[in-house]
Amino acid sequence: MKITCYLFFSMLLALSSMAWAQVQKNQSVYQLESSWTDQNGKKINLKEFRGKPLILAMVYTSCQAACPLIVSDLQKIAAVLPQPIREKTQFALFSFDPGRDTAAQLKKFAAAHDLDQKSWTLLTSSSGAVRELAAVLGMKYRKDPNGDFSHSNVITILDADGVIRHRQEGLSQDPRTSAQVVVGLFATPGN
Amino acid sequence: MNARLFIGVVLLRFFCAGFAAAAPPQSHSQGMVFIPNGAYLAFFINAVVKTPKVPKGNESVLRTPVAVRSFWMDRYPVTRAEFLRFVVANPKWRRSRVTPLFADDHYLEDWKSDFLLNKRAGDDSRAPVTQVSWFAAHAYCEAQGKELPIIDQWEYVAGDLGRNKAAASGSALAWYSKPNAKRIASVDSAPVNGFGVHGLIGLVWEWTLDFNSATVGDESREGGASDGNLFCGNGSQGALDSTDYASFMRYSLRNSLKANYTTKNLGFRCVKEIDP
Repeated sequence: MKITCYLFFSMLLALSSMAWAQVQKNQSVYQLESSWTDQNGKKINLKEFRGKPLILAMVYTSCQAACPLIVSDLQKIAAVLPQPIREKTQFALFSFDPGRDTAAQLKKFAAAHDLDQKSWTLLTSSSGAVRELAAVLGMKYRKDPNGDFSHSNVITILDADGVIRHRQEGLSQDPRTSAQVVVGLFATPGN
Repeated sequence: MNARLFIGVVLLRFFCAGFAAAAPPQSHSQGMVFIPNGAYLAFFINAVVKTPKVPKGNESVLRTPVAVRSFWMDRYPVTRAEFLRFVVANPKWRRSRVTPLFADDHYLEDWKSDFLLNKRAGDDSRAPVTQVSWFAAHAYCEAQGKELPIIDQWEYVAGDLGRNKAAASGSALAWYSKPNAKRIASVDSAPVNGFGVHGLIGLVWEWTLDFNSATVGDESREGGASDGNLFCGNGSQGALDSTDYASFMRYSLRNSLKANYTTKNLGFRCVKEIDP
């Protein structure tokens, strides 16, 4: 009787953890099927980021004001990550200016900001893909008549499955909060 | 109002009205209405006029007319019956299959099951579909070869070129101030405006493609996004048309939405570009 009871509860536990994994998967940003082009002109599907945590922001490279700051905020997070963790973390900048941000333009921007090719991916796509990604990330943006964009400044941290684990809102926040989230992701199995 | 701006708007309206009359009335496709070229006055500030001698920070702030190119718009909001057909054809959007990234827990919760509309006696399959997320609405329109309207298109048609302005904004406010009806009426009962579009106001609120557009007073204020017009402090108050409280409510609602939200009184309709 006792054994049956144990068996029952362990089955229940297994089932509920399976259900939990299912829910986790369902929240993955990698459900988006949009196709992007990176700074080298290579086509990339979002799911290709699966497997390692991803720290990302949406920017446009002709931006004079906030975007260089958000890039430097990302670099600050990278700088405070312990090296072994930094090496297993991916960084990405998604452009919301498909009209002007070509692969070549992204490559130039990466060089100008010292973003090394190994850990940084810069991506551009169609305006539809941008809209969908912004919707998922809770980003607000608007193209102004002069071609600039008004936008919220958010850095998003995705775990290895693409689930949003943290949003750093506003510029020049303490990078340690985000870094701790990333370190925490490596402490949980699956990353 | 600034006199020059007023004349500009009046001229633009005449020009557009003339243009609209000249445009060939194309055949109505798939229950859609032809919306001619035109312009409307956006609710929020979209220009800053810098005049010399005025100290910095005291520039006058204007709203300028936003031009809208002609397009097709659904005559009615999408109905429950129409959305059911979409859900049957697209399993991903069934209530039991949709994922939390794309719709919250209340998605289609007023349906009896995946394929049964009527939860309570008297539910109307011709009522607008509600409890749908932006993602679901977007997918529906795409599946019809259409798209969700952008805010400019929606507001332009709702503005109705200023026809019956007082009555229209009065009835909009009367509707916004009423608590949610227990049951949403059929789209056939909705009032029609001068464009021939039914129920933009008076039945349900509607999703727009760019609901997440940055507008006055949202979080982009923090962190210094590029556009000074969005948050130029004391200037902005004068820029809002305080008589246009109905628009203000719509902008506030859109601003509060997230793309996977679903609510009892939020539906949608689609638009389509004019084939060249």
